[in-house]
Amino acid sequence: MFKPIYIWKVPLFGEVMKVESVKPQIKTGIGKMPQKQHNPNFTALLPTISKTVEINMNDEVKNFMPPIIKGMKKISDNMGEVQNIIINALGTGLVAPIFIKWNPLSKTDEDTRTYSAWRQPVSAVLAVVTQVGVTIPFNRMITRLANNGYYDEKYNKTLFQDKEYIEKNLKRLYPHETNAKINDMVKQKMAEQQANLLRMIKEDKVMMSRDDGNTFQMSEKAYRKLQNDVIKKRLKDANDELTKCTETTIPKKLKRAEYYRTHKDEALKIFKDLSEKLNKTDSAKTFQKDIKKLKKQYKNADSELLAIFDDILDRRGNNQQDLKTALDAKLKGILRDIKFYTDEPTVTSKETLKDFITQWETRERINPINEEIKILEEIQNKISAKTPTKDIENYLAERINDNPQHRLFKFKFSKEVSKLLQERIKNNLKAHKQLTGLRVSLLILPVSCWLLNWTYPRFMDAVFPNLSNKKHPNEIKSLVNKANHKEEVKS
Amino acid sequence: MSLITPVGNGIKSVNRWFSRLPYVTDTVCERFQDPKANSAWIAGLGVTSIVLKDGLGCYLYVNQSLNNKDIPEDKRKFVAALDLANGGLMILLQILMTYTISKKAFQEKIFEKLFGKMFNRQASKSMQAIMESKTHLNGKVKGNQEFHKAFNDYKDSAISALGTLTTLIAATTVGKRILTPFIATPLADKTKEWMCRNDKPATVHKDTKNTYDTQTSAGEKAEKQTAAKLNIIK
Repeated sequence: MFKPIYIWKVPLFGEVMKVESVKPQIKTGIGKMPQKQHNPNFTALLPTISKTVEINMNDEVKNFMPPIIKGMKKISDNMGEVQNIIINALGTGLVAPIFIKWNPLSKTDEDTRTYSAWRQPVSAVLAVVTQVGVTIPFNRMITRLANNGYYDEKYNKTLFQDKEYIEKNLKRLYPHETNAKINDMVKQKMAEQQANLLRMIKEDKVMMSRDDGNTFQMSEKAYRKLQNDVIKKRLKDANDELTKCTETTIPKKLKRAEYYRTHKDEALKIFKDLSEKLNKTDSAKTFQKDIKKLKKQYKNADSELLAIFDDILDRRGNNQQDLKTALDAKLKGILRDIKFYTDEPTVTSKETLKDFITQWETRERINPINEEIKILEEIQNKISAKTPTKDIENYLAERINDNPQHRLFKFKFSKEVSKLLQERIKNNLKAHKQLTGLRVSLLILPVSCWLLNWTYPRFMDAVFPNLSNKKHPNEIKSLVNKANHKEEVKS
Repeated sequence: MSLITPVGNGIKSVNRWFSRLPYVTDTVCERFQDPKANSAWIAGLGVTSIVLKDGLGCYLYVNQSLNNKDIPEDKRKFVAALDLANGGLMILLQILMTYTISKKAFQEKIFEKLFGKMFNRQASKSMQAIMESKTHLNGKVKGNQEFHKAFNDYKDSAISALGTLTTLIAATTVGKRILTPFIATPLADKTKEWMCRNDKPATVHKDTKNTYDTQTSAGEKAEKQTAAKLNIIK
């Protein structure tokens, strides 16, 4: 019987066991937190974390993205039923009242329209409170269940649990530990889970856990599809790049290089002057205004020159300094290109220029892309033949031959499979959460309707008694009766 | 505790059962794997959720209005008709708006207009130059496919978010909250006629008959009636 391995007296939820020794349905304790341990020794058995700092390109790119795009990414990542409810409620609460109260087609008196208009914000608040109030706990439940292995392989996160889930469990286990130590343990745990997943992929045996502690192997079909999708995606990118290179880049380069060849002196003068001007200025925006003026000045010049001005104007930066850097790089690039194309001795005419560019692009880009495509297609065949991942990686290494210039030099097959598996499960959970949100918010709807019927008249009575009285004939009747009674007493 | 556990387990089991449905695993999950390509479908799912809720809400409101004893009997059908016209229109216009706004060609145009300059070749080159100017990134960005992947990932996210947001806003705000109120009231009359097509002529109950007079107050009326009675006696 397999026994869970403990590190810092905490078993790894992410499968530390030797995969070869595990048979399906073996109890491992994975997915469940162990009993509380005392006096944990965190440092003694800690595996060392790699000191090499790998650049996370996603994070780096994020730092330079305009804020609005960061916001859009956040919206895209978090879009779900809760957000649908909120958008719907915003329309109901903020827009609907305006169009009810000021509807030119309505023949109803203004007080009645105002009274009706107020129903919308009340209804929106109640919808958010009831529907979001029910959807959020369900979303949390799904996350928790996915992390502890309640679901099947499509939604099973036991091999790469969420940071929050690990943190919560560790805090429960070690309530007296400092946050800093807990954070270290969480990082350690996540790194271990990633390493374990990678090892399992290399061994073609991805073992997931159930909430009862048993394990099960990811189905062969799903696993091979995952591998195949990694290659398919990469192949698509390579083919797209190839198409772009032949259909867009080469014709565009040819047009521009021809301009440099035929207008060398003019181009050199304009862009050298601009480069000097940019170095002297602190305001990149003012510099771009100058380019606009220059564009007007040269409005009858070669259309390619105007296209270059447009390119310069299209340069972006989130601040003046960044914009200046981007503009400077562009001007330097232009000057370098002028030199590159006009100093080439073989280029004497448009035809020779075309040959030169085509040969250069074929050597530098098209051939490497074709080589990449060939390798990827071969890997696809190997996946179909159920070749072990280790052999696929060996084949890849053989073909790359330690050449850092090779397009697949940084392509680590098992790592890509691991990344795609995590992305797939994350997206599956997103879909499951959205559908669950839809169902529970539908179920809660009668409650929302009942609450609206109950709350709305009471809210109006309390906040707008003047408007509210108009809507209560009984109240008016009693007032009229009272008045009549007084009249009778007087007479 | 003894009751909470079985209820909780029941909810979990039902939830897992739903997660295993072939439509969920084969269609919905697959669509969510490529949010950019399926942004219209995902936005449509959001609108479907809202439309379903509007449909159920409409049914509940119409039912409530028809059975609401607080509403005078002769007016119940009009109130219910208004609810039905409102609900039907909301659903129809939301579906219509979704189909129009989520069209790929339309979405591409809006995206190009709003964010095109943030993702064109020059924007990508600008970002590479800026990143290369930072010490820790020098020599690591240009020609790095990871950069293009991350850059395009942001572009895909922006496309997906824009598609979902514009579709939802067009459906739930423009279709449902701007256009519906304009059409619902005149349509309610027609709906009421349709609902009453088989009815016998309605008899207005004396207690709920609308006797409210905007010209003469109830007090004055009573006074006049008393005076008239006195005149008769005289």
